[in-house]
Amino acid sequence: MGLITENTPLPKLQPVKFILNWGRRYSLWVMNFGLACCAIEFIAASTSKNDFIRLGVIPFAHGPRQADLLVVAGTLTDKMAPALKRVYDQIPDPKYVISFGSCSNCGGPYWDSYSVTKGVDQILPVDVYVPGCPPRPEALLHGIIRLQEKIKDEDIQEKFSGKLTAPAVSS
Amino acid sequence: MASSPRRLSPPEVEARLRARFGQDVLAFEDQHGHAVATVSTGVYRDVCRFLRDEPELGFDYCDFTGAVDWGDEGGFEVLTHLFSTTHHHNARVKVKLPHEDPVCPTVSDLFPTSDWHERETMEMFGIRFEGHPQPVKLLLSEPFEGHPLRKDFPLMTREAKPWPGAAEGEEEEEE
Amino acid sequence: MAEVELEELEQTYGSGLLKGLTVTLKTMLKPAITQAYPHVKPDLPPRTRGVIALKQENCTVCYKCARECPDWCIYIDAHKETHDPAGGGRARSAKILDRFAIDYSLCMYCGICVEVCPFDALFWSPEFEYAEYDIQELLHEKERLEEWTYKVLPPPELEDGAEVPQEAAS
Repeated sequence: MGLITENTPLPKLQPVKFILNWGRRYSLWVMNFGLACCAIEFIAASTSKNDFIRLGVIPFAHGPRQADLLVVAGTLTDKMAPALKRVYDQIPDPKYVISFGSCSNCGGPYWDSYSVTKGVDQILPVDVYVPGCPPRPEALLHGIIRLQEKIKDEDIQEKFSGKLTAPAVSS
Repeated sequence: MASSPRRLSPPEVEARLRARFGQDVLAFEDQHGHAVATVSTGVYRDVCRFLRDEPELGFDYCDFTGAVDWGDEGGFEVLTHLFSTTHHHNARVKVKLPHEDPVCPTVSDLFPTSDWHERETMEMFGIRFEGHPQPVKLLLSEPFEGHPLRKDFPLMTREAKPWPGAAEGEEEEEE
Repeated sequence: MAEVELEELEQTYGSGLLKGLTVTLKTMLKPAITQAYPHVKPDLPPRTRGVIALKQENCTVCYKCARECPDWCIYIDAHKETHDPAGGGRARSAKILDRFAIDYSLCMYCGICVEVCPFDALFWSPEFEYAEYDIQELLHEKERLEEWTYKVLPPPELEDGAEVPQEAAS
């Protein structure tokens, strides 16, 4: 890919990168990590009124190994955090994370609790934060569209140069 | 053998309890039609077994086992809410414990529901249940220290973050 | 006996499949109820809790919203300025708002701040499209909150039988 993209006479025209990004962003398979009320809004976004399958996001992947997008919807407690990290590690690269709702953005209404992880970005790298409590299903569609815009400009080579994501520590 | 369903009023429950346990029933109340008895720690298990096994009382369903922290003067109070599925009456059994080294006998062998409820009470209040088959943490994560539902447990996030509502005085330096 | 069974078998063979296919056909011919989101925006009522807008000129910096917020997500900084009035007299003091920020990553959209504001400086707006790549961008400062006021819808009509407010009646 490097040979083709770097040595074309028109540096703006990068057909392979364009095609690969196009394929990747319009065929996201989502692993729904629904934890609380935001999961209901996620499910509502998958129903026929606001259908995120129109955006290429096929819902309810059979498992993390068949997914590329992880939507964390709901409150993450300290007890659940290792399980979430394990599921994230099981998703093969390239993978993206959407943090859906206030609780997964930074603790939300339970920011003062003794058992809540204040934000899923403490353990995972998040690509898009969708605000709301809970966000509308259309807000999830908007979040997915923003993620697709982000993927459009992505350079996969640069993203993973020398930086493979670490496997889960066997516990 | 189960007797025909007859709902007992709290005074009737009290009469039966006092007849059997006498002085060990320390207090008795009628709260909205529920019989609430405060008993001494030694007879807690016997009271629960009596309530379960007597055909006219028949409290076979344990709804909830929890605790209350009454603060400095009050100590802990472990309570079990029982319900009879045949007679449809409710009862609560309370046990008072001190703040220092609170120990209470378990009722998890009488009512399997209390098993997990007592595990939660143990981690949240630090009350030790003697005879519990598996006294490990239920809801809190493994490295958690402290007992959150005690009155003297501080919420660290509220202490660490400065309250944005504090008007900081008249002479305020500009940002 | 065997013949009757065979007849029954031939009668019912394929009928289950046909029933299923008729259901599919009926559903296929019904109109779809999907609202194609990016092209068709949802029609939201004016009181929808999408985002909170701040009208700075109404704000008297009483700190009520910051105090009542259960999430502690409203950050206010202000100072007092005194100036002499044009027509003479003692110096008047006014509170000037330096910073008013709402952290939408923490906000739980309860509306307590909007309810409790005595001067109607906070308004609900049905906008929900402000997902960000970086969580710092979810802290909206007062300039951005002022921009949201342009998206605030007028309040809904009073229902039949509702009391007309005093200001309108007088």
